[in-house]
Amino acid sequence: MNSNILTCRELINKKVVGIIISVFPPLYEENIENADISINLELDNGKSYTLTTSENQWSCSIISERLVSKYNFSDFETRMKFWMHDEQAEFLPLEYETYNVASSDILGSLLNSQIIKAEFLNINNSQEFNPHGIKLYFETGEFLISTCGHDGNTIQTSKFLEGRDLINRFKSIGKTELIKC
Amino acid sequence: MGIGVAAISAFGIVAVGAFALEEAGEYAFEELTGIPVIIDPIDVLEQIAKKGGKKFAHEIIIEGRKFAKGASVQQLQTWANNVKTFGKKAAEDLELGRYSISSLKSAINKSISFSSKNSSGHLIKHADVFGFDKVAKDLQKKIPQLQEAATNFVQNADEIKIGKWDDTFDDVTFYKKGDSYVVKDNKTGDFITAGKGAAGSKKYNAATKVEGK
Repeated sequence: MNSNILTCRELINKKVVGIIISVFPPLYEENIENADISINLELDNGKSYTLTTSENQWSCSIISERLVSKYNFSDFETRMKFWMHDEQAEFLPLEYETYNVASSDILGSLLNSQIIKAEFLNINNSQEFNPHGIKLYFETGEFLISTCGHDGNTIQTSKFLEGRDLINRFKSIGKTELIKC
Repeated sequence: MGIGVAAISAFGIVAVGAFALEEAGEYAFEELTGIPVIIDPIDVLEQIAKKGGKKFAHEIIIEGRKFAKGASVQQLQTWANNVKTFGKKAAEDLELGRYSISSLKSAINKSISFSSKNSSGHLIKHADVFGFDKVAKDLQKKIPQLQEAATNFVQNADEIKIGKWDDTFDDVTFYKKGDSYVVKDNKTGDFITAGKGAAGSKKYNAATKVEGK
């Protein structure tokens, strides 16, 4: 069985008590949607998992790890604008930045909410189970999609980087089906 | 060089459908570009025209004519290489109707660029694909070396495919070496990204291999 399935099941019926966003600086990207953004969820059982994309730029990956945040998510927008537009940005070292999400932030609605269901995003035209994303459903009605992006991973909720049809973005490869984990 | 320039001038005015290349011109092409005339771009264009892509072949010739004015050997080399690499596939795909002419034209005319404004971030992020330590703090200072390594990667690719990245792009070109790959936006020529573990990528696996690569 795919190890992601087993790990995914550990998320069900757990409450999210902490969120850290990991982002690679989107140096001179025109669109924040092109940034490599992953999400780390700390659960009420003391475990933490990062939802991200493997180095093959396709397969979704759920990694059990605890991240340490360097910034507050309230600084996220300002820092992303710096990386995308500031002339000085190209002179600074590039490394993944971690942001701690507070309940007042745009992603804060996921905090203290229980994950009630999880589904994998998988192309249905092959026998191989190689999901390229995961969708979590919360008791509050909120959702979280984590899937492969422009370069790395991207995430989406009803309020964060919303408006993209991430489920159906690989129509040219095949139809995406949602498979309950 | 005089013969070469003359040959390229002649190359530009060749009428579509009549791609006979004179012996002298063939020799000059080889001399100018350093590319052995085993599969000549002219032959490839002729093949495209025969398979119904006369307009496509004509547009490629027009594109080639631009290089004759400046006689930029490097541009001509890239163009000729791309015609040879993608042209044979174009001829097949035109016959089968697999890909659009505009996409194939872009693949041929747009050499990959590692110098667009947002490329350095992607080069640093995937520095390990190009043989660098990706956690090194000084990679910002090594952009020229990264660009050179990335160019070498593409030039020495052991497999080339045309496919899709996601629905925000038109067709892309995948250059694979070992199990790593580099992705080019065929519309702009821009370097999109690089990856490791091509065998596990459905994007890569779904792409169509370019013959001879």
